[in-house]
Amino acid sequence: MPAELSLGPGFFEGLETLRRRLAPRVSSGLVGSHMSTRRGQGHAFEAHRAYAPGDDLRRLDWSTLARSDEPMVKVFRADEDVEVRVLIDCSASLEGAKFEHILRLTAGLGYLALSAGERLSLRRTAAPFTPCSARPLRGREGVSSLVSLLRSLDVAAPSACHDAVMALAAMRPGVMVLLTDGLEEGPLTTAIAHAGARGHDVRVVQVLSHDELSPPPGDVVELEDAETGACVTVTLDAATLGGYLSRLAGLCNGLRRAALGAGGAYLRSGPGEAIDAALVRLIDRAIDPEVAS
Amino acid sequence: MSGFVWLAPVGLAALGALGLLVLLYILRATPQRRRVSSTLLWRPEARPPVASTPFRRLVSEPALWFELAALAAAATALGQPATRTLRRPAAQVAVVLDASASMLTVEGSARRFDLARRAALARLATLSNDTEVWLFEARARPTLVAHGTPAAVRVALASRPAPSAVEGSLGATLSLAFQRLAPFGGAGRVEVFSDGLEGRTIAPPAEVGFQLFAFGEAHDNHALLRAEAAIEHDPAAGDQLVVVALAANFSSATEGMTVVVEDPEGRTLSRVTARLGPDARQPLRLACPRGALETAAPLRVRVLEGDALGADDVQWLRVPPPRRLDVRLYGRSHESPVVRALLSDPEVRVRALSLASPADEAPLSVFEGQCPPRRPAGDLLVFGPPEGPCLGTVVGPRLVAPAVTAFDGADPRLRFLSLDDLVIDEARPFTHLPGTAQGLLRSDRAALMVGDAGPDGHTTLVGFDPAMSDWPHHHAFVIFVRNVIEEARRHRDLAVARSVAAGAVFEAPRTHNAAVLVGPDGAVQLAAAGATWRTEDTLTPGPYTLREGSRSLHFVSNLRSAQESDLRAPAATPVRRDARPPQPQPQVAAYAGWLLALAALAVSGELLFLRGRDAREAP
Repeated sequence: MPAELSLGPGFFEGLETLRRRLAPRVSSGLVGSHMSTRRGQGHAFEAHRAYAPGDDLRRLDWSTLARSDEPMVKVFRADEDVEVRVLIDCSASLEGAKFEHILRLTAGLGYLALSAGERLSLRRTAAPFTPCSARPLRGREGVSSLVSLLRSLDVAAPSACHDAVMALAAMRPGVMVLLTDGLEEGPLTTAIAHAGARGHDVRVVQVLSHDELSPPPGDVVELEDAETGACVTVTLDAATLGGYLSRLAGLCNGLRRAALGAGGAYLRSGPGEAIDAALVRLIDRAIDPEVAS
Repeated sequence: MSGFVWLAPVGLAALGALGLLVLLYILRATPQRRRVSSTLLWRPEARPPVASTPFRRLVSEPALWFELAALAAAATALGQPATRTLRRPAAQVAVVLDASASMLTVEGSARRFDLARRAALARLATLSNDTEVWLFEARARPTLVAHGTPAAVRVALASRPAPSAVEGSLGATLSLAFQRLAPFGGAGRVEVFSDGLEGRTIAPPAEVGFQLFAFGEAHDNHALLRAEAAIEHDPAAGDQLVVVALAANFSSATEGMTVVVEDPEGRTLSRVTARLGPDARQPLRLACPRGALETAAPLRVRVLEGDALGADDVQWLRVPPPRRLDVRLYGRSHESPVVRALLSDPEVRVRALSLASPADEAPLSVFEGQCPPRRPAGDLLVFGPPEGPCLGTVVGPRLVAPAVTAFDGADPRLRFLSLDDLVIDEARPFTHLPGTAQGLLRSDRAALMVGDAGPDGHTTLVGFDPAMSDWPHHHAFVIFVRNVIEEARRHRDLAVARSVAAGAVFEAPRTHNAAVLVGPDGAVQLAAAGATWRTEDTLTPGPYTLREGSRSLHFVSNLRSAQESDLRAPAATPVRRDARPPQPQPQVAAYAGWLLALAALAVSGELLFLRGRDAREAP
């Protein structure tokens, strides 16, 4: 069942205002002309390397060959329009307000990207990790398609963030925005590091609810996993809550370190945060502090 | 039958709630289910799998002990634990002192009342200090004099005044004492100090002890049981005051009695001697000289021969008012129609005066063409007052030929007459009336005749000169004046009140003025009860005068009891009859209140404990 996503005219009017305010940063930040980390046929010289068979002879540095009698080719940093790939965690653990917050964040982010002429593609963390649309969205005319796509999304189990990130990492480098709660078993941090190593600009947005950040104390309760339906009986006393918060801090800080290690950004958000504030932090490549355990 | 008891042992069944409480603590609670995004982070904190048994091990925790204590205390309180002890109640003694007229009988050198009081004082001295004593006096009405320890009652009894010559109420007083002591069972005892003349008819109840201490010997006695005064009309010699006294001889032999009538100064006005046979009652006629009719103060009739009881040898009486009425006329002419109308009553004596004459009190004062500067006592009739203020009213300017539109035919002054055809040539109507005044005769513009009543008498103001109207030519004018005369005569006679029996309460109509009642022993306390004055105590024999403003009301009070005067029967034989000894009464000391307080304390302790624990465990 698709999530109820309410995106009225006021939502996009606010985003337009935000886009105008952030125009200078947008052009050199998340979207617009990117200095690709992929070496290629750009105009900015980066280094020389020995010629190898198959290299474009037009890149051969003839003056160096004349001086050193060694065939060297010039390596340039390519100028290119990168694709903004948004990876949406659709696990059942995000059911409710958290998933709606993720969709609204995606809508805002997509609007800004499309308004800046970037290509935008959406992917879910459920296999087979294919884009939600046949071709990447582009231009302002793609906003309506984006909204339609978001409204068709729904939480579904099983979800595999790790596999989804690994699948995206194998693609041409670009901007990868991962929106997840991180409450998943598996080496997600390894996948993030791999994506960074592959030249992706990784932005991790971890969405957690207030009850997950500070669960209320109580008596003995039986906790039912929204994804698996498995139950765990715990006593919500001070000791239990302390252990939980310690593990949550470890999870959050692990994601943060992985994003930073991959040269990306990490921020935490929740249903209570305004979309524009979260977008500003995302564009500014904000790095939220570690969670105290 | 003493010791620890449960007053409501059924309430102890509530102790079963203790088991329920413990059961609640060992029952395994079904945890509340809560849906979370993931149990990934909670799994390390998971509790071990619960056993299938619905019970768990009882864990000692402070909350359980607090609740057990509160529940145990409350359940025990429901059983109403108490300690019961048997205690014999303190003795209750009602001392009844006869204070009737017969107790004034002299026995040797002392009166019966003094002997009885002396014996009562001696009896009180023998009572233990824990005895509760009630002191009653059988005066004209049962009177509770004192209540307390024997010593306190002795002080009160020693200061009691001698009784007055009234008919006693020993029977009613004993009933009151029995009623008061009945709840105490055998612990109550009534001790009567009397000459026993009434006590012989008393049947004390079985649950109350009774003892009669009798005083007095048999005596011969004579008495005046009644005295009345009347005016005898003698065409030849004129009116004469005649006193008729009813003399009684309470002895077995013929007795000679000399009865005299004395004026307030003690001068003898009349005397008669008679011999009365055994048990005889004889009216004696005493004709007084003509001047006695003018005596305003009460006369005294008494027997000269002394006997054991002197209080019944005297009767007081008032001289009845004569038919004759004195009228003071402040007029312009002896030939006025007003004078002729006044003299139409043959019993009216008119005395003409001028305003300059000294004030002379009379039952009726008539003013013609002038208003008295100061209102004289008695009734007042004013014709044609001049313009200006007059006795609280305002007389307006001259009015020519006013038409009579209404008159108050219900007023006593306008009875039996009609003013429909009255023609007035000239009048001065009343433009302002005081609140208590009413218009008796009205024109279409204002009142032409005003009536008012006050403590000094009734006032009638006629706003025109009869000579300036055709009223004197009608019989209605004479009827009007005769009505005023009759009203004045009635008001005068009211000042000579009836005789009041000694021992009765006096009542008289009252106005807003302060009143003073002076009796033979000085001022008597008066209380306002509605529209009447009422004495707080009963009257003793003698002459009385009630002064209220300028009004004086004279009356007398007399002893008229043959029962009090007949002393021939000896005092009753002393009687003693003990009631059954009182049963010890259980005294119960209950502890439920303390236990409930303990329960509340335990609940408060648990609340404090839980609050502190929550504060400590808050993350």
